[in-house]
Amino acid sequence: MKAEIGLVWRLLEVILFFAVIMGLVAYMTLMERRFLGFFQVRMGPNRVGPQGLLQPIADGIKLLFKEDLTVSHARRFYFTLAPIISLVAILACFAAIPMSGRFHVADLSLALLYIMAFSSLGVYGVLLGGWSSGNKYSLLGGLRGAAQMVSYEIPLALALVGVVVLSGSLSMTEIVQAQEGRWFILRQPLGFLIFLTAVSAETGRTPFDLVECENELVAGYQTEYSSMKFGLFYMAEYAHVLLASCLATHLYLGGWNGPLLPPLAWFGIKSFLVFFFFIWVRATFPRLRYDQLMSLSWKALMPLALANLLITAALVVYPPFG
Amino acid sequence: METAIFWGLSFCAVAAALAVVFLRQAVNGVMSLLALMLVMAGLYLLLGAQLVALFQLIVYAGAVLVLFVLVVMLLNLERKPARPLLYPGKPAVASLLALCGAGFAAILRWAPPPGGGPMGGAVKPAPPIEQLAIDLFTERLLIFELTSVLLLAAAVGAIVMSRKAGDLS
Repeated sequence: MKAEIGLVWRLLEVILFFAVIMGLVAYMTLMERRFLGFFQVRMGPNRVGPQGLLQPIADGIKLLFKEDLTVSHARRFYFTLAPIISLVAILACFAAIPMSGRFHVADLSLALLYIMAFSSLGVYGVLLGGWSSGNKYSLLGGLRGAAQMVSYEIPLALALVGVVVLSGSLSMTEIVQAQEGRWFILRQPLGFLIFLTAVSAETGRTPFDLVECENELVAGYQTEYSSMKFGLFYMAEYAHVLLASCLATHLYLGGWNGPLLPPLAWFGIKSFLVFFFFIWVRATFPRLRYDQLMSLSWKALMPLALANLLITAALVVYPPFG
Repeated sequence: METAIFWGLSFCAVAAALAVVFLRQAVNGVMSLLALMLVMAGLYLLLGAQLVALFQLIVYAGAVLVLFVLVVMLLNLERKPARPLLYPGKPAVASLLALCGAGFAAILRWAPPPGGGPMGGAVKPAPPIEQLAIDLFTERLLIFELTSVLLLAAAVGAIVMSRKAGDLS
């Protein structure tokens, strides 16, 4: 009996965790729109509720009640499957992200690999969505997205290996514990920059939003999507940004470590600041050209990430001050 | 519980593998292959080999198959006539398949079960990742490095083959 109560309790915890994630994702859209507004000296959405606080709820209701169109030349099965893959692949990653030492779904010993594995499955959502729409702009967007995500995954993984070498573990909890006192951003400044660049390319945000670049491709792979199928893609995109913020916090900014405030608060503050940084970048930089995007990944980030890994490994094996 | 999951996953694996061979459209075949990869990862996980399962996802599902899908989508193969190949209706293929099936059945019937049960007895817990790294970089270093040379040669070969004649860049 006791075991069953424990199990139910655990399930409730998991549901609560994902409810928090989905709530955050909804309100991240509002944050992004408001902050972008401020960056561009305008107000942003501020009409629904005080300071526009009910806007995400209104958007959600609107998306749910819109007509769900499927264009006649779409491949129905894959057309429906694509947004589901996108969202599920990202949400599965959150299972391995602890929000504090206690509030998490699972403390995996191979957490980092698990996250890499599931976030790499997100490519199929973009690819299938673009292809199954039966529209040339969608197809181009999907192909671009897949090429971009696959090529930026390599520098991203190499940058993460630097962190793994320093902490000697793939578990999120142990990586955070290894940073008590000195955050990895101080020991891996180059790695942090590579991580941020690669991860914003992975999430497909400006300046890397070639996937849905509106002046060339209408809306890329999302062109033919409407109603909640579009909503799923949208949620997946913001969940990916949230995942990136949480990862940056855990891997480079000391996770939930910090004085005075409770761990959960520190984690929240740091993740919010990273997310704010992403918005800032989006408001600041123009979009890259596609060839620039590819040469940045293969000719700049790859060698830098390899050099970073080499130096990190050398310093770990032959510590200069010890 | 584990036995039930094992049979479920095995059924899915066989179904997906058959779908790879028999589905007419190339995209359906590739997506079945993806399903097969995922199910295989599940089977590895069931065996307690988390590392293998995750690398299966990262390398095969996350990278190799993406290229397959890209190629299939770029070539738009479904406009081509359906491939005229390997359907059990043809007598030669059907008899070959029946022979293979009989062979498998014979193996299953007469081979001694490896340690009893479909799970092969008690599953040993996977060694920690540190042990794997130590093995890889001490005892098996030569093979490991030789594999990388092989991969490099394959990559160079692919680049040479994909280059157009007369293009020296």
